[in-house]
Amino acid sequence: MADQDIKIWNAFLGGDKAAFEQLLLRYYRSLFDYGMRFQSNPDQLRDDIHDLLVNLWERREFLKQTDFVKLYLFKALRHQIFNGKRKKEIFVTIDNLNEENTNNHEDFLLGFEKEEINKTQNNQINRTLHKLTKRQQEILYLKFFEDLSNDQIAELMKISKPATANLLYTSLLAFKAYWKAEFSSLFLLFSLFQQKF
Amino acid sequence: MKNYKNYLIEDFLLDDSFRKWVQNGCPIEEDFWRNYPIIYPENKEEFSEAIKFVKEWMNRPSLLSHEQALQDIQLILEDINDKNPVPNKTWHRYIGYAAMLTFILGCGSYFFYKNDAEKSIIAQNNPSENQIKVSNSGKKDKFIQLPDGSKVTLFPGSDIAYDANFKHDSIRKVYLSGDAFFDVVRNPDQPFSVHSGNLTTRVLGTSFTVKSGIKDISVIVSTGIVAVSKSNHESEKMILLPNQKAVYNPEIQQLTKAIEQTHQLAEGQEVKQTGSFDEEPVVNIIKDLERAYQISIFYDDSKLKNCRVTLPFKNEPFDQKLDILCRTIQASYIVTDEGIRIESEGCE
Repeated sequence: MADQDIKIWNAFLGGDKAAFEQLLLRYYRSLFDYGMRFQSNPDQLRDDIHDLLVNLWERREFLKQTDFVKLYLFKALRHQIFNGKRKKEIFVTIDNLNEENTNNHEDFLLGFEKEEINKTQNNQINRTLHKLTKRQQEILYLKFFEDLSNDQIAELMKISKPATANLLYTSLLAFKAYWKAEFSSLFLLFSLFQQKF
Repeated sequence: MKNYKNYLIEDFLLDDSFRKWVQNGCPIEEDFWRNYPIIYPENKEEFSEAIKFVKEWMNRPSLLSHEQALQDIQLILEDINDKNPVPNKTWHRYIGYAAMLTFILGCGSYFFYKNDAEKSIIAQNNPSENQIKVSNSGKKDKFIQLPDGSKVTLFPGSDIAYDANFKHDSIRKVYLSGDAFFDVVRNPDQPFSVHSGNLTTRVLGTSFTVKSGIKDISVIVSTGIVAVSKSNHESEKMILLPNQKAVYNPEIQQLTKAIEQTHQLAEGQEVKQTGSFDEEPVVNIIKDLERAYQISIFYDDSKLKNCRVTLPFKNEPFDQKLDILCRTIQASYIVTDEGIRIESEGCE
């Protein structure tokens, strides 16, 4: 799979549109899921990814070969989003300054009333992630969903290796705390729900 | 020296070897993790919680719908095709206002591009020169033999195509539109794959049916083992064992596994139901499974001969039964071309 990637990447560098399309089909969703970890506005994110990918195509002759396409794209996305954000600093509001996410408890309750308990279980990871800071979300996503090594994460997030290990650990603890809290309140709500019938 | 005895969930999750072990299912490597609950029974709960976590992460759904992803991709392709690219940003930002208009315009080009996209994918994999095409425009099944000896039953209204150099290609590729039953000659050096719509079925010398209809594409395994994946995502394979079926819905681009209801077990066979496996020798259970599913299961008789177990088999699919059996006797299995191989330290 990895060497197929490299072939497609090289074909794309050479101007092969079908190869470019293959890259989009392979990586678009990953880029989106990763980007959501530090850009909470989905429309803005899709704009950024759009610009990034169009740009990539236009600059293809100047791009390097790479051993790991996903890491390359993730780096590029990060760069795109953070540079974009810096340009808009003039319009930053209090909300944007605060990296923490707003409390999503109302969303959670609403969701529970509409769905059966099984369905909410599937999205429990997503829900719990939402409660963490963006950096925590990002590192957990990279480690557990994209399976990147600590070295790769350090490279991507531009932090030192010890800092990576530390952030990973604290993020995991935070995740665990929210997960357990959510699970017990879910249970409580469920039993209350049952009592009504 | 790691403090395995007092491992908490976060310690498990940060342990690369643990995660790999869980992700690989019931693998042969990492004996250590398999035996962990035996060595440290007091910490069994943290251990199971950690496994649950890793699995939940693996199955986490994407935040983006397939439709939206496809639409976005088409917009990007359109953008790079324009000679005078007009920035598309405004459309995304004012999506509330321009929603109706965008939808109508976008809809048309989306479908148009979708067909093109499929063509371009197929064109990549499907060079027209030196291809042999067989069509069945009649009302009866058509029997074909491929150059490697594999047999295909082509159902009415279906077509298949394969390279003239099929026998010597590195991968034996067949392109199917419609329905067919394949009986593949096993050759580990020359994998066999069937491409139908956006689905790729990789075979390891087996027999299976592919039905590619308008609404969905399905692959049903009769004997042996098959790996099904979406073309372009061939690393995300779904492994099918006998009587399992994969259904691909092209509209939402989703691949799901199901049990083939009509032929759940090989004809006339039955796997004993709940409670009837009271303290049964494991080797007998394995033989029952082999017979019921027409699949070969290999194991070291000297190690398993003393194992006895009570299993709550109900209507689980084959691979789950195998998992239950494995975990109960602390064994692991791997899926090979020839069948399933069970590895175990045995029971005293």
